[in-house]
This record gives sequence, C-alpha cells and structure tokens, in this order.
Amino acid sequence: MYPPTRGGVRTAVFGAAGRFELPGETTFRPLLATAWALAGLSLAMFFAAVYSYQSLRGDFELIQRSRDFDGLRYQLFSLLKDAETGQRGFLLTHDPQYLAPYEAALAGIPVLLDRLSWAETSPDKERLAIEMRAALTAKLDEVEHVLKLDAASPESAMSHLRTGRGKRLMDRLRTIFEQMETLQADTMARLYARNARDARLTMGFMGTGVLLVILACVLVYLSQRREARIRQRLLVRAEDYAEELAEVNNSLTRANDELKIFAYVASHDLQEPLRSISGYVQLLLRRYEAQLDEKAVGYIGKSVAATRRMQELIDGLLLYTRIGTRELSPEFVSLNEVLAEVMANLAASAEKSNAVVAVEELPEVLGDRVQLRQLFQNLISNAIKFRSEASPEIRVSAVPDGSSGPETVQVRVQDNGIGIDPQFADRVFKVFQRLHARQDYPGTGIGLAICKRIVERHGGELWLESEPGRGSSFIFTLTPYSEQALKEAS
Amino acid sequence: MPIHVLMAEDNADDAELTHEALVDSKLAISLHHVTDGVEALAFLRKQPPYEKAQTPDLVLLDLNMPRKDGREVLRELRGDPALRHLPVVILTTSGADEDVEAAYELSANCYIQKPVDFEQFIHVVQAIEHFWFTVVKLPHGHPERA
Repeated sequence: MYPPTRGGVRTAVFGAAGRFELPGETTFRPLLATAWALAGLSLAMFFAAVYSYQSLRGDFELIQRSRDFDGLRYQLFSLLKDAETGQRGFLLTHDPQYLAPYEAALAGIPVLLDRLSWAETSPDKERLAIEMRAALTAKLDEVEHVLKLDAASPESAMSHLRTGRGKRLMDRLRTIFEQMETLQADTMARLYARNARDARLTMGFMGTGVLLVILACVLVYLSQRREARIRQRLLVRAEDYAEELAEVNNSLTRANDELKIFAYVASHDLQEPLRSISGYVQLLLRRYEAQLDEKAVGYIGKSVAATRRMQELIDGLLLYTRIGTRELSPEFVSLNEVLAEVMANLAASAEKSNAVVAVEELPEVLGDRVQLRQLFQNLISNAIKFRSEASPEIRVSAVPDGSSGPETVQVRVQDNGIGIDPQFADRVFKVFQRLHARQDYPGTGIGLAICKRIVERHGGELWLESEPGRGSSFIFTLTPYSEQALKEAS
Repeated sequence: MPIHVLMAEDNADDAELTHEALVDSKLAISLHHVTDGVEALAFLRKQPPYEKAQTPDLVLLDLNMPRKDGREVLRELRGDPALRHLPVVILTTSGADEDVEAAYELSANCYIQKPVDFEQFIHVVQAIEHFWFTVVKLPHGHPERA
C-alpha cells in the first residue's frame, strides 16, 4: 500500500515541477518592437515635415517678393507716365507747376529701383529689371534733354520731339513692362503650385507622423496589456502550483501520519487476537493435556507454531514500516564499531555454524546507528543462514566509490554461500519474497527488503552480485562522515 | 495476608489469561480487574463503586485503554501524593520505542511487552510475581494513610 501511494504522489510533484518552465516569459516582444519601429518612422516623418515646412516658408517669401516686384513695376511705370505727362504740359504752357510730377519721378524712381533689385526672384526678372533700369534711365535722360533744349529754345525742343525718340523709348518701356507682366503671371502660377505642393507635403508628413505616433502608443499599450495579462497568468499559475504543492505536501504528511497510525494499530490491535488464540490454545494443552489424544496435541502444536509465525510476520512488517516512517537521526557512525556490536549479537549462531567473519578497516559514515546495525545484522545473519556445504566465510570490506559521486563509499558483504540466481536478483529485495521453502531456510522473507529500505533512506543504493553455488556479494553505498555532510543532512 | 494486585486491562482475554497464569502461583494473590483508566483511578481513590477497595500492592497497567489510557493514569497517579508510591508495571502489547520512553518518563517502575506466546507469557507473569512479591521489599501502606 505504502510504496505505490508515495510513487503516485511523487509523480504528481514531478508533473507540477515539469510544468514550472513557463512558455509565456519571452524576452522578445513583437508588439513593442513594432512600436519602436513606428516611433522611429514617425520621427523621420516629423523631420520631413519640418523640411517641407521650411520650403513652404521659402515659397511664401518668394510669393511676397514677386508681388512686391509687381507693385514696384506699376509704381515705376506710373511715375514715369506722370513725368512724361508733366513734361508735355510744361512744354505747352511753360508753367513750372507741371514739372512737379517730373521732379517727384526723379526723386522716387531710384528708390523704387533699389527696392526692385531686392524683389528680383529669377534670372529672367533680373534681366528684365536691368533692361527696365536702362530704359528708364534713357527715358529720364531724354526728358531732361528735352527740358534743357526747351530752356534754350522751345523751337529746338519741338523739333527734337518730332524725331519720335521719346515715344520710342516709352514704347520700349511698355514692351518690357508687358514682358514683365507675362513673366510675373508665370512665376506666380509656378509659385502657387509649388506652395500648394509644399503645403500638402507638410500636412501629409505631419499627419502621417501623428498617425504613427498614435499607432505606436496603441501598440505600446497593447504590449503592456499583454504583458500584464501574461504576468497575471503567471501569478495565477504560480499560486496554483504553490497550492498544488501544499496539497501534495499535505497529502504526504497525511499519508505518513496514517502509516504511523497503521503501524501502531498493527502492533497493538492486530496482535491482541493473535495472543488470545495462542494463549487459549496453549492453556488448553496446559490444563487438559491428560484428556487429549496424541492427534489433538499435534493440532495444538501446529496452531501454536502458526501463531508464532504470524507474530514474526507482523513484527517484520512493523519493522519494515517503521524504517520507512520514522525520522532518521543522522550522526557520526563508525562502521567498525557497528560491526563489533553486530558480531556480538550473532556470536552464538556464528559459532554454531563455524562461520568466520573477516572485517576489514571500515570507514566512518553519516547515518542512523540503529538502522545501520539492523542492516549489517540482516546481511551477515543471511550470509550465515544461506551457507553452502563449506563453513561460512564472510568478508566485510569498503572502498571509496567513484560511480555514484565522489562523496560515497561502497561497502561489500561477501559470502561463500549458496548464492542467488541472477534472475531472482530483484525478487529477493521485495517484501515477503522467498526463494526457498521455509523448511529449508526459516524466515519471513523481509530481511533484504528492510536492508534495501535502510540503504535507500540513507540516500544510497543496494545491489547484488552473485554466482549460484559460489557465493553472493551484497554491495551498498553510504555517505562518509564529514561536518558538512552532517550539516546538510540536518 | 493476601497480596493485592490491580490489573487495568481492556482486553477480557488478556485479563483471563493473566489470571490463569497467576492461578498456579504459590502466593495468595488477589487480582482485581478494571477495564479502563477512569475505573482504575476510581479504584485506587476508593471512589464509588469502589469504596471498599483495598489499596493494591502492585498495579499492572495496560497503555491503550478506552476513556482514559495508561499514560494518563500513570501521570495522575504520579501527581497524587497518596498514590505516587505505588509500584506500576506497564504490561502492554506495544513495543514502540516512543511508548517505552514515555512510560519511563512518567516514572513507570518497569515496562513489559506482552509476549504472544502463552508459555512465554506465563514466564513473564511468574517473573513479575517472583520479583515484586519475593525479591523486592514494598512499602506497607503510605505514611499519610497510616
């Protein structure tokens, strides 16, 4: 009952521990990575937006300058026309009042020309401006020239006017003016188009940038929510595991407590009826032997033998259970001392069978003294019991063991007895399993099961090497004594 | 003057077998039998229905009994100035180390595990008888009660 229960529970523990490796805990978070990428992209968008906004501002400046250019052109032309009209009026009337527009033009035109040079925005305009400046200067010079001639002789002024030079100069100016107008219209159209494009780009970049930022924020939010959920799930799962573990622990404690109760009940309640049977049967013999025949006496003898055997079985089972349930008290144990105690216990039976027990130098180990004594007692009494024709020769030795880790010793109890067929090697360690008839070799079949349990409780292994007819060796591992091993054990 | 023994034992068979084992005795032993701890204490304190009970020379005490077990009886007995001098022999089925330790901790005079085998049981009972009533010297009553 006990071992399968424990096995089942242990599986559950391992199952829980196996699932402790949680898959949700990833270091790479795809949502967050995407959010970072989007944030980077949106930054680029904002730079692009800034760039196109600057371009847009450049456009506005150009448009402004173009407009100025246009305005200046009109002002220049109207000043000039005023000047020419004034000149004409003066020539006809010689009233100095008419010269006022001319003088205003003389004063205003250079200022306007200065401003015009700032408003030039293209090589074409620059060229036209130069032409216009030249034509203007020529025209003003012409007007001045006519006025000088007139001051000397109105006749000569008239005749100069008649040559048509003034008109030609004016026509030329008009042509330039018209060319400027065409150019201005083109420029404005081009600037407006570029302006619109830059505005669209700026808005586009800005909009996309904002959109990307929003998207990144959403992704960050989603990522965090996802992580929070995973964390929550992990937390819940961890709590589940803790609960599960506590439950397993509880059921283990309960099982252990029940086993202790069982052991106690077995020792007390199970033996009471047995003692009654044995007692009354023997009392029957004691009080009424004279009235019984030989057969009846024989039956009573068999009943008594059966109750004794039952008692042995119960005792063996009890011992086996106690070894599994009782707390170990690990301490410093000298195996040579233990062997001396065991040999003293077995002195009678060893002498009876002429057994020779050779004990080599044995190590000092960490273990429960009572259980280790039981272990050696069982192994050596087995070696004496399962003897061959020859008188028993038993040898107890120990070597440091490398196979089960550096911290163990290997102890060997070797005999020259009947040996054990390897196919039964596992069976001999099981409770109440026997290889021989009880008449040949008495016993309950629990001794080796107890040995195995003792060694396993000490964290070691017990196994068997044997050649039928030539003897067996029982080998087991134990922990050598050290302060550190003691500290770890307690 | 007969020797009085109080036996606290819940198992009737065990009680009868103990009685049978004492039958062959050469000594005049008067065996009083109670079946649990409450009765045992009532007997020792001469409480109803044991007003006329004799204070025993020896107590045979089982550990596991109904109502009040042997450990509690022993504890109360050892705490009672009128009764603490009584020799108490624990006679029980249990061979558990804890029980043995607990019994001596509570000042039991000795601890005996009942053998299953009746022949051995008879030996044990005879050994008790021989030791306690022939070998040792017991107090004759208690100063307080004298």
